[in-house]
Amino acid sequence: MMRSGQGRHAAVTFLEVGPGFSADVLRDACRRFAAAHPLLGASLSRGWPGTVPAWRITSAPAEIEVSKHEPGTDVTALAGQLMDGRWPGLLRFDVVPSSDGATVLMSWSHLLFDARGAEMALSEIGVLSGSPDLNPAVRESWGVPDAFCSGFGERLRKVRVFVDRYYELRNRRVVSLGPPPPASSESRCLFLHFSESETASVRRRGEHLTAGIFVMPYFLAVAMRAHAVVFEARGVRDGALECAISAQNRKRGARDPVWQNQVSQLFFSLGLPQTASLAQAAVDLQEQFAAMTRSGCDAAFLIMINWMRRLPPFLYRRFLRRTASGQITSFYHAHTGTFLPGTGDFCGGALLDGWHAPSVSQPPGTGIFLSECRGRLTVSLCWRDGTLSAQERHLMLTRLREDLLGGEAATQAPPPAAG
Amino acid sequence: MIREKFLEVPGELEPGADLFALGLDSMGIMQLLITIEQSFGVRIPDRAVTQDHFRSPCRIAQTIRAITAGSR
Repeated sequence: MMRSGQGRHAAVTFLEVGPGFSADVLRDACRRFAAAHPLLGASLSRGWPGTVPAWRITSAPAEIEVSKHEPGTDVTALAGQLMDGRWPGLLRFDVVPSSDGATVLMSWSHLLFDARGAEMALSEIGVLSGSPDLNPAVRESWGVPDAFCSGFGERLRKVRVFVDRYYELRNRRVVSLGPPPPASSESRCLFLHFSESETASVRRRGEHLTAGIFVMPYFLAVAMRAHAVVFEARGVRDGALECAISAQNRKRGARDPVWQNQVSQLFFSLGLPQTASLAQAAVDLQEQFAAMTRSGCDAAFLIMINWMRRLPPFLYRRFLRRTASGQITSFYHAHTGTFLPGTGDFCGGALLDGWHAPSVSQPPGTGIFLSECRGRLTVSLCWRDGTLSAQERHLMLTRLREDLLGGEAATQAPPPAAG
Repeated sequence: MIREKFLEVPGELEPGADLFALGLDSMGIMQLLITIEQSFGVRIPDRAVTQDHFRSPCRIAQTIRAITAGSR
């Protein structure tokens, strides 16, 4: 991404907080958080030319910048700038005060955090903000997740599941909306916010379509169809949509580890014609979900990635270029569930709403991300300049609302302006 | 099994605890389902994979009992 002028792989987490929020309290909590986590002062570098980059602590404790902006600052435009990651360090905060609280933007390196880890970091900072005298012990090491089994022979046998899935998907022509080849472009984002009643309606609709328990395939089907409608408008009718979904290794409800690499991946694919019906698409994706989980594809991928971490990146980039022509995903997608569960206040202000906006690489150029806070769903559409026209964004958002709420939603409120 | 592998909960996990309220999501449910099948030697049919059957440890146990009783 950096070499093609797309900035660093970063993300922005939005928090809407109520009156009483204090940037000074946040600053102090960040200081103690950084003191407890020396890894925040690390940089990714190679020990010797040609070797695998590793995180090396260069300045501990890190200084987490907390920057205050003028009231009325366009937070969406600000987020777009922050998403490109052209700021020093691995974590920073930007605060935009308002008459009834503040919008707090936490920007984080996606190389060090994932969304669940970013929320854990926020949760820890929130706890510190409520306990000014608390100085947690320094966390030196987190370890690397085990790939579920021991013994090279058993790992070699199990990894076969991922290899088979990889080559099965390579037989399909993966399409994405971003123009090849990788190009310098700015990050953009916009958000769809749903009310509590609308969110309840979305949930009921998802439960009805998926028999109530596996809603991930439903939301993935919605995201695929949002992309399919743009392809249709472009006259593209064949090709496959492929999307990797993260599978958490952390136990649900766990408060650590905060850092990245606590996930495996499952790889989903539907041909563009298969996205014609939302119900059928959700069923097809559910079948893929069940098949991949039963076969242990997530464990197999984890074994593969643990082996690959020892390889210089140029080797597997070459492999991907040769076997996949550089196209390995059609878009990025995640539903991260309930945002900051268990957090009532953050740095003196009530937590009113929150969601994530990760930057996406180009290709593929787009991402659709969902989360719920206080019973309200937010959908983040993130893209690179040049990937989607304004009309195409409107098509996507209309399809998203239709699929999430039902056909009548298409005639309701117009989509918000982009950042 | 649920506490050990899938859910971080303070204290004991009550038999009637709402697993969805505690944070169990789609991926977690599927992983739990596979673990149950492998541990108890049962195959849970798709029609039995519902919110009601997986809502709590108690309901899961009842579901497994019903499936194993039905397969004898």
